[in-house]
Amino acid sequence: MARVEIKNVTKSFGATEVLKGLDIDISHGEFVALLGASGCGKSTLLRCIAGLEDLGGGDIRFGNKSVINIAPSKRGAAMVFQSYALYPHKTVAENMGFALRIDGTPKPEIERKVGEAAKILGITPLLNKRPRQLSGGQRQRVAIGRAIVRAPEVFLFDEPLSNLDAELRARMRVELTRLHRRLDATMIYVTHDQVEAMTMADRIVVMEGGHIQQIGTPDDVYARPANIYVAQFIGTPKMNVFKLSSYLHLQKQLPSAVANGGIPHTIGIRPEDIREDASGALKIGATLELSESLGRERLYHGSTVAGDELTIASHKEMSLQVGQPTTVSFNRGQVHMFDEKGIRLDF
Amino acid sequence: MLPVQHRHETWVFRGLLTIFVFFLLMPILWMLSTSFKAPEEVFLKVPTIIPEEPTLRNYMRALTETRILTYLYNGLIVSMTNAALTTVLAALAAYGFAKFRFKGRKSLMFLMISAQMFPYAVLLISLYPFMQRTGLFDTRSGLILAYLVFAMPASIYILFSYIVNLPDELIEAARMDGADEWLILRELILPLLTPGLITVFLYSFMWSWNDLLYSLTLISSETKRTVGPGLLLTFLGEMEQDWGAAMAGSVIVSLPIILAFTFLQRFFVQGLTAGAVK
Ligand SMILES: Nc1ncnc2c1ncn2[C@@H]1O[C@H](COP(=O)(O)OP(=O)(O)OP(=O)(O)O)[C@@H](O)[C@H]1O
Ligand SMILES: [Mg+2]
Repeated sequence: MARVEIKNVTKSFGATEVLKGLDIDISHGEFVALLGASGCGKSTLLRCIAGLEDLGGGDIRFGNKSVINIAPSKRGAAMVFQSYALYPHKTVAENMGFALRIDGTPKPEIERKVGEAAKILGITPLLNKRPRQLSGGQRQRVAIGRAIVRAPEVFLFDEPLSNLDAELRARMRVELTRLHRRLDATMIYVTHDQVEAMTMADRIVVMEGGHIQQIGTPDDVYARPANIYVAQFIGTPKMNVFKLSSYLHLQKQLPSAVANGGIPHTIGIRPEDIREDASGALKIGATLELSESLGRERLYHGSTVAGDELTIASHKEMSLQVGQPTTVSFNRGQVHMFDEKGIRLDF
Repeated sequence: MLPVQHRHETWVFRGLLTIFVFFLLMPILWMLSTSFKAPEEVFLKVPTIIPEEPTLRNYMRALTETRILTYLYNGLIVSMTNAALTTVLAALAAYGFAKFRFKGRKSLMFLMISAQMFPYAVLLISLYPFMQRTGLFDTRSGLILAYLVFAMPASIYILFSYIVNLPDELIEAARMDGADEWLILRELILPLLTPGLITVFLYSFMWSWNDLLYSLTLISSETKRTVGPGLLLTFLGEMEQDWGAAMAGSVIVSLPIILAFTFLQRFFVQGLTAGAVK
């Protein structure tokens, strides 16, 4: 019903092209995260979907109907802004009921709907307060409440949690996931925080410079990144990459060409897949210079014999000989291979 | 606030402040005092500050023997209309300039603001023939229009700086909620703009109420005169030298401004300083 199709959407501000032809097909009820570094065009795309920006080209369809000529409020989408954008002079209840009042909903019904949404979000005691009397987390809930009350088919979130502290953010993540299950609505969620995207989304759209780099489930983008950009963007600390020409002995152990004819050029191994000893099948000489403790695990930073940067994440406490040459290793199944252009190759 | 560290500095500071306030308030005190004095007391060689035998006769004379009530009526009509029109029009213009992108926005804005650079007497030179040719000379509407011309640029600028500081997302949220431009203006911009609106209203009211030059030049009939030229012509003419009545008249015409300020000063001060500190 509220399937959202984004078809070859482009958008420029003056001479700068911000969206360079995007295609995304979002099914009804899906939770999709738009993930990417700052300035990659996430907000712009979301605002295009909302109708707050006109498209440069392409089409956006909600449930098989093009919405590009429909006013923002008539599209059946509600937006939660990063700044919350609560009306400062209205009470929480008035904020939440504003849209209903505008479209002429009778007062008792507005009250009922606002009350219901407030109950879901646990903000019933706040209904008569004004935004400036609320904490950041409470404002956040009101902003979400204002969207819920309209019972939209599509929710649009623009980094809704970025102004909250770490603990509250973690709690709101769980709440938003719960809310999504309960509301049976399509959600499009902009974030630059990969933890938010990985934990909440059914699918992640990784964007970069106005392009889509990959669309896939969180497991997909993590385990099978489509290219080096995604491989290094998803996962902390980021994936190690080595150019094969610097490691001839590895090149011999790996296929020289894959089924589709692609030739491996670069390999990537996640820090947690590297062993700090020589027990794996593929070995690299390295020097480790620095270790950091993250509590649950330790990070070791250093460089390989070929001079590439190397990061290892390990649960083990190892007797690190700072500056001493050592051997690290990994297994073939943990290697991601990319061709000359950085595109993923499968064995 | 400056830290005042030493006792003697405090006293110097207070002394300066006292002198300043004295010069500021002296004419007003003098006006009040004289307005309650009997004619003999007004001309004493050693003037008294507090009238020895306070009397209301000056007020009676000012109200009955002059046309002060007519002037008050005209003044109120002209100033209220001017203030109301200025506020409404300036709010609309400022909203347009602040939140809509259209061609020539910057140059138009600059043009409006630059009208302020001309001394208002200079504006009169072009307004005068304009009023005569359009039949607006010696009409209250003409005078209101002239005040509007003068009060608009500053008013637009004051409101512009308010609206520019309102986040765009607020307006977009309302648009998502289904509000059209008028509703956004009425339910969102105007309520959030209240201090600015009051500032502009007071500013334009005060300006037209206190004006002498425009009113003196653009109004010729006695029955349409506003308070400034009204009082001036009365007490320089037929009632010359009746200082008691002149001062009583002055007190009477100052009342609307004093009242307005007493009620609205909280907003006025807030309005003038808003935006200076975030
Ligand atoms: N109204 C505008 N006028 C001109 N350029 C704009 C406008 N809005 C966005 N841009 C530009 O478009 C690009 C993408 O902006 P956008 O806000 O979509 O990025 P984003 O991915 O949301 O980044 P962030 O994570 O920092 O919010 C940026 O380079 C930005 O400077
Ligand atoms: Mg953004």
